[in-house]
Amino acid sequence: MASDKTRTTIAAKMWILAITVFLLMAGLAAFTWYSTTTLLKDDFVRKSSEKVLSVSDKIAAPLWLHQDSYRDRILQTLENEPSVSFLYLTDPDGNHLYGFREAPFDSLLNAFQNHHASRQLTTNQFLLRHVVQYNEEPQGTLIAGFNMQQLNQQIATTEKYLMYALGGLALLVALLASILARSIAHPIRSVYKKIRSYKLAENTFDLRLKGRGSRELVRLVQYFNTLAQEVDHRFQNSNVSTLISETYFDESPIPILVSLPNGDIEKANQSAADFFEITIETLLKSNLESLLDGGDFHNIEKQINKSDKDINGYVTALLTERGQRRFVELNITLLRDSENILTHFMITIVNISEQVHAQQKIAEAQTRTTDANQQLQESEKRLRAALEKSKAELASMNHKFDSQQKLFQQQKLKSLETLIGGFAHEYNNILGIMNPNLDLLKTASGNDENVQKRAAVLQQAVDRAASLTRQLLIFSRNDNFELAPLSPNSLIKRLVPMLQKALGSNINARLELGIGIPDISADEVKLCQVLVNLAANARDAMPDGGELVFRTDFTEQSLTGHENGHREKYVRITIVDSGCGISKENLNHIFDPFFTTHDVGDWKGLGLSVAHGIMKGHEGEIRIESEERIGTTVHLYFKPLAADVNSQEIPEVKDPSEIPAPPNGNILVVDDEEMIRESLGEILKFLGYNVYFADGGEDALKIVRNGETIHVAIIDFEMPKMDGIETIKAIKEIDENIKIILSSGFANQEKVADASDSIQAFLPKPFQIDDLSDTMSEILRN
Amino acid sequence: MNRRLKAFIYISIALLGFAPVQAQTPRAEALKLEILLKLFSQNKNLALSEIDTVNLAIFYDPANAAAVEKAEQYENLITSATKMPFKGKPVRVNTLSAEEVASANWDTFRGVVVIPGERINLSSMLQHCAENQTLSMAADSTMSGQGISIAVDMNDEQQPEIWFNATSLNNEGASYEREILQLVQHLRF
Repeated sequence: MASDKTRTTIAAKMWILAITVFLLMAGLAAFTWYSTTTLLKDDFVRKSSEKVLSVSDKIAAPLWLHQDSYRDRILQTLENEPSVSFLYLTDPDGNHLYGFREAPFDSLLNAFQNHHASRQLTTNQFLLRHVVQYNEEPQGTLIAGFNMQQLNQQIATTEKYLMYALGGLALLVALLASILARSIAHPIRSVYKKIRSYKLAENTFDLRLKGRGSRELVRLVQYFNTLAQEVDHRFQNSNVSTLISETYFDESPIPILVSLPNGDIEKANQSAADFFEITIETLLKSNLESLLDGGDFHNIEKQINKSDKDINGYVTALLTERGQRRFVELNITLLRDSENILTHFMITIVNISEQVHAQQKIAEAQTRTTDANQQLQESEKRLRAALEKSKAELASMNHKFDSQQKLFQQQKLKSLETLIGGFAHEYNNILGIMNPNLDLLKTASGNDENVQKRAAVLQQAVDRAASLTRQLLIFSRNDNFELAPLSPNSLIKRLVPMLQKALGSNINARLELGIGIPDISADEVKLCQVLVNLAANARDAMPDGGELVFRTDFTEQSLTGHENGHREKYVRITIVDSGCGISKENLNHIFDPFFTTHDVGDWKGLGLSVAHGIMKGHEGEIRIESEERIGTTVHLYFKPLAADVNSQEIPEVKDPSEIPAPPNGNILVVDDEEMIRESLGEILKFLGYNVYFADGGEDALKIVRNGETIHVAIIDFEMPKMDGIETIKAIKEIDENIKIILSSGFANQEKVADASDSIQAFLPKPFQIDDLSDTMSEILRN
Repeated sequence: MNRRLKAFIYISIALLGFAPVQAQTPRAEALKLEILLKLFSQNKNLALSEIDTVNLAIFYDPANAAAVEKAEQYENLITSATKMPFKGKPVRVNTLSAEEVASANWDTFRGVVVIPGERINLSSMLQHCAENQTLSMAADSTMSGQGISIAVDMNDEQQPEIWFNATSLNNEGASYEREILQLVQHLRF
């Protein structure tokens, strides 16, 4: 504790505070002086510069246009400013144009001009140089001088007032410090003297300070007086309090013990003796360590040593003299002497046995409830797992069912393709016999009108049958595809305006064409046929009109039907109608040939079958989604054109005039069908060719090996034992100069592609004399 | 009265009746031409950025020797000028006699400088200027009253002054910023 004499008095603190405040104010005054001076100078410079710039802008045009009088009038406005000491205007070459009060400032001006600065601030002058510009070209230089005497006077005045203010402030602060020191320190000193003379229980406490000092000090003395009286009163009544306390202790129904810090019981009431079931005398000879559990007493000691505070609510169990176990709550109050040294523990004991038993029962009940909840949760988990398993099994079954349905559909279409392909082949063979014979009949009949008329009717029937067979071949993917690079957007743009006319005015065809759609490899004619068929179906589905959208995009997706299936990039053409839609029942049959929901008639039921065949022929896919009364969406998927397709070489076109006339040649006809062989032979002879016949590949090879000069061999694709492709390869090995025409109504595209290098032409069955004649001529010319 | 005498009298009357070309110093003429061309360049509708060449014409009276001399002087001043107010665009000048007014390629001219003379048909010339949005100029203040859009001339103190004919300026599609207009000492309508 510091000595009283070393402590600073209130008066001294007040003076320190006053000096500090004064110094702060002096600092503030210095800062104010500096900032005000700077501000005034900056303001002077800014305003002067603005005046020069304003005048400079105004004289720019007159200077440029040599309007000297106008220029001078403007300069005179600046000249009349009281702060302007001089003006000086030169042309861009430095020749003097205008001057005002030059003489006294010659030396200053020269110094400034040599300095080459745009502005200069001296003690008494502010000089500014500005290049006057018009149309971004210098027209002259304006130099202006401003007198700063007035500004300096203003600054001096400001300084003077600041000094006055600072002096006044110093006096004021000193006065305040003195007053505060007197009004606070003096009364406190008086109170101190009075208190020092106070003696307890002598009733001499009277400070007599009313009417002097501040209100707070008077109140402080009054409260101090009251406190002293209270202390006196309590001292007088302390004996009575002791008596009351002891009575309360003895008669209290709560067991109370008073022990020394080492645990020896020094005092106990009757309730405590009853609680421990022993006499008070025995209890007074006991120790807390023996009454409580020994461990409890040490715990209590540790807590008290650690916190040095009373302990409330210490719960423990103890045994009575008769061996009865009781749960108790101990409240231990620390009793201290006047020097704050711990002398005793006062322990009050609350019997909480009944509450503890009740809590134990509640805890047991809670444990049982928790167990039941756990069992319930486990049951729920098992049920959920079983449900999830059932769902997964159901989904798996559904998926299998869908897959089987699709597989069944694909197998059905495959079977139909094979069946119809075979049928078309046979049918074509028959037409192949009928067509040339019909031509021969027409030729042989001469001018017999009746025969010609009948032959024409027959020709129409044969043409119609050939057309139908062609459609069926397309479905069975055995028709020829003339693939070439094709822009889907370009095709749709060309086709849809034509389709719009066929669709009628109540159907609005709309395009939504994607950007950057790659080209595809497609047979333009056949793709048109697909789009026309789909548009026709859409038209039939919208008898009351609607909207037909043609959309293109470039997408990446899996067409396998599985979410995790291999994803590929496709060019997709989508046709969306707002028609009546297709029922789920019919959706599984839409690609079946001759399946239709309309009245049966010509070509009905072949549209989607042909579209399906054409898409397969393009190695593409057709997918249909439909919902009754909402509409149908057809997606056509094409593989984007590979780079090598674009780079195919375009064959050189020869000038027709250079093509020699077709020579008469030896033709080998190879076909297992005798009727076709004979018909073909007749036509070729009719055309002037020399014909050899072979009923199969082996027979053909014999003729070639015999050394016969064969110019062209017409070979059927489908033959027993040795098919057309094998025959071609064998013939080419013997004589590579023999030109080959492959003829068939049912050709495997892959096989034909394999042998394409050896084949000069393909002649689809049925063909007519003109087709054969043209093909022969072309081949023999080349 | 013989024909030669008659001709002398007519010529004398004609010379007296029309304002003669004032003989001023070459420096004054150069200054006036410089101001005319500067004013011409400040026409807001000239659109210098859209043209490749600034095509000007000088019309003079071939029978007036002073006018011929002045036309030659103007042509020389323009062709020999090292600095023109046309943002670096090349200037082409066509010096044409009064007889060539009708046959001139008016649609190519952006501005014409008219030197007063007896044979100058001003009304025809102003009609061409209006039709082709060509700015008419003269270094003679009297021409402003006769319909020339811009004229520059020297006052008694040999200081250049500017004349604007607002009606003609409007006809010829010219307009100016306020800072130029406030320099015009004489404005006619």
